[in-house]
Amino acid sequence: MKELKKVLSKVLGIKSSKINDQTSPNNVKKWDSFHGLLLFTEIENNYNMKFTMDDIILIRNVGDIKKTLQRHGVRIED
Amino acid sequence: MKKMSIADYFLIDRKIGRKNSKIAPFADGPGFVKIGILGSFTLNGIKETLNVKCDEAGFLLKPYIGKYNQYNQELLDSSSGLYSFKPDLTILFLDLRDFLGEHYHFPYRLTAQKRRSLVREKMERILCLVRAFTKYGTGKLILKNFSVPTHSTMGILESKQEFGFFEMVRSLNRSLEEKFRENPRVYVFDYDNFLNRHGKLEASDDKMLYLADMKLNQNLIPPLCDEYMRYIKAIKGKTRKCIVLDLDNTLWGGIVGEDGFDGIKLGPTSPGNAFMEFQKYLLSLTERGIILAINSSNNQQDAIKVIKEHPYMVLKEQHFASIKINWDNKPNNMIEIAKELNVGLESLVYIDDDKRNRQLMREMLPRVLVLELPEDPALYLRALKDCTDLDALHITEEDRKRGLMYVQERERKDVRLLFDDMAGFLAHLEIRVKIAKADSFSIPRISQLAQRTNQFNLTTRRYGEETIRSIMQKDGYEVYSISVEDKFGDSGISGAVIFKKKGDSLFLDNFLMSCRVLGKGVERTVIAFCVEKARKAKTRYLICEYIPTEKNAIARDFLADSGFVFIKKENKSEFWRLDAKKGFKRPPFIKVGEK
Repeated sequence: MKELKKVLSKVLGIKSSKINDQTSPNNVKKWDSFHGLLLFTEIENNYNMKFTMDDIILIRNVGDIKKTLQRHGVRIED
Repeated sequence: MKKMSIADYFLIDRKIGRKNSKIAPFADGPGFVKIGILGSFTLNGIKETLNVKCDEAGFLLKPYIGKYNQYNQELLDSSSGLYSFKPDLTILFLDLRDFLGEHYHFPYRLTAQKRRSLVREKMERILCLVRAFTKYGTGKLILKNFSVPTHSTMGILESKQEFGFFEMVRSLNRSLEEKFRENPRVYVFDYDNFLNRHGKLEASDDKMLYLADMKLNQNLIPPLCDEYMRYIKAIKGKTRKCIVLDLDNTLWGGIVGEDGFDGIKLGPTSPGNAFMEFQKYLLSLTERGIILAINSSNNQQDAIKVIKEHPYMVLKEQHFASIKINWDNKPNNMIEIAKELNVGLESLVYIDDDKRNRQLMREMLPRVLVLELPEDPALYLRALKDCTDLDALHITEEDRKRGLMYVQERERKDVRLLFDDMAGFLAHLEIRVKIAKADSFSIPRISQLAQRTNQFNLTTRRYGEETIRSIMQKDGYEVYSISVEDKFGDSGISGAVIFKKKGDSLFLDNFLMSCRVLGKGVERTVIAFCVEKARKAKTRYLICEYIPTEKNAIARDFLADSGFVFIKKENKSEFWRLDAKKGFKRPPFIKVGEK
């Protein structure tokens, strides 16, 4: 989670300590559609994986990102 | 060094934003670059990335982003937001899909003939936009060519089609190059080649294309901006013209002091061939105006022997404008090289295989660009080819000869030592000066001199090519180029003088000379020419305007020494006068020709 938080914090300009599974576009000002796409590309680069179009449409918050990454075989430690 | 991702650029962009928030939003001047960005789709990230890269290069970006897909209105309407912004450079980014519409998906619904006329019609559209830009706009326009598609429904038969889909795009690209080759205000960025270099299959992130109309993979935005930075740096005069090279393990493999003349790796077989190819590329750069110099810790004799006698050494002594082979520290040598070539440290690129040397140079002389060289010599050439700081907006005849001129200057200095007095030396040089009315051939060079000359430059008015043409046509100024040649070689166009008749005087708007030809009587020869012009125009006086800067005191000294009298000061400008009636003695040892 530390690694993922680092990426989220960099792209969305929020403190790592404030990030949890419920963090979403609803409670982060900077998380607009463009920064969302920026975030997905940065996560892809970091974990050397590719999201599908449906992944991106369905992801609602950080918890969803974690679940999706796990489904793609990425291990996320707490 | 890890490559920065687009998210990294956004992060730094936010920091720069905070840093620059104190600067007035309408501030203007040489520290700024104004860029208009127009596209047929969303170009998110380009502004932020360019902002960071401009900041790194030492100036502030002022961007103007055209509204989504409104490039037609921006370019065709003389009162558009773009034109009132007055950009230094405008980027027009058209995507092939947007540009061809449904024809992109169904090119073979058209006959070959229809496909040809479609290309002509599309080309006419672009021409129309460019015509409007040249009429209403300022600065340069950077077009791009189109990405030749990777797949065709015709499969293996694509190349059998008369004027097929791929050929349509290639033909469009070819016309773009041809149409604007001679236009000094329009450049065509080879986008297709850019994508080929990075791999076309990776160039589109298809889900992002469908989700957000992103035509280019976000990961390619930073390298794309690097390409546009080449134009920006060239316009701002922030490019570099001299490559300073280490020797051991840089120009050849091994260490000559240890491995010996026969032991170094340099030749047609591996691994020496990597170094030979590297040298060939450097040699080719000198032939388009880049200067080379050596900065090496070595025994002078060992190293010079390799340069002079090694059968596979591509670069010879005559290709280096300055040679520093000694045990002095390298940053010191670097300063000496800059002095000798009379260029600033910001004109230099340094290539050295030794990590610590590179680190030291970066710390001691941050204005020098230190090329990051990979461990493997096989990759040196690629690192050099990727350097985006060696560009020029145009290459003049003088640029091509520049390296040679520095070598000639070295020889002149040697001869100088043989003479006791200056007059004897100057007579020996057999200097010939040619003064010619500016024309399409000389204007790019005159503009180049106006941008670069700092010392002997009376008013430092940095006229661009368009301005020179306009003051000649509209304002009745006469502009002359000054070429200088001597027995050691041709320096080409090395100065310019701009004047106009005003009342009873011939008024010099500017007079500038490259420092390379100063102090040989050429300046006086030019003033004698102007005095002659003043007489022919039946004017009594020759008046020079002089605007002092930190660097151009030498020009004022010249006026005072040549009999000009200071008459008045207005704002920053001083005016100096010479009585043309009294005549002016020009140096007898210089031959003059006029065209």
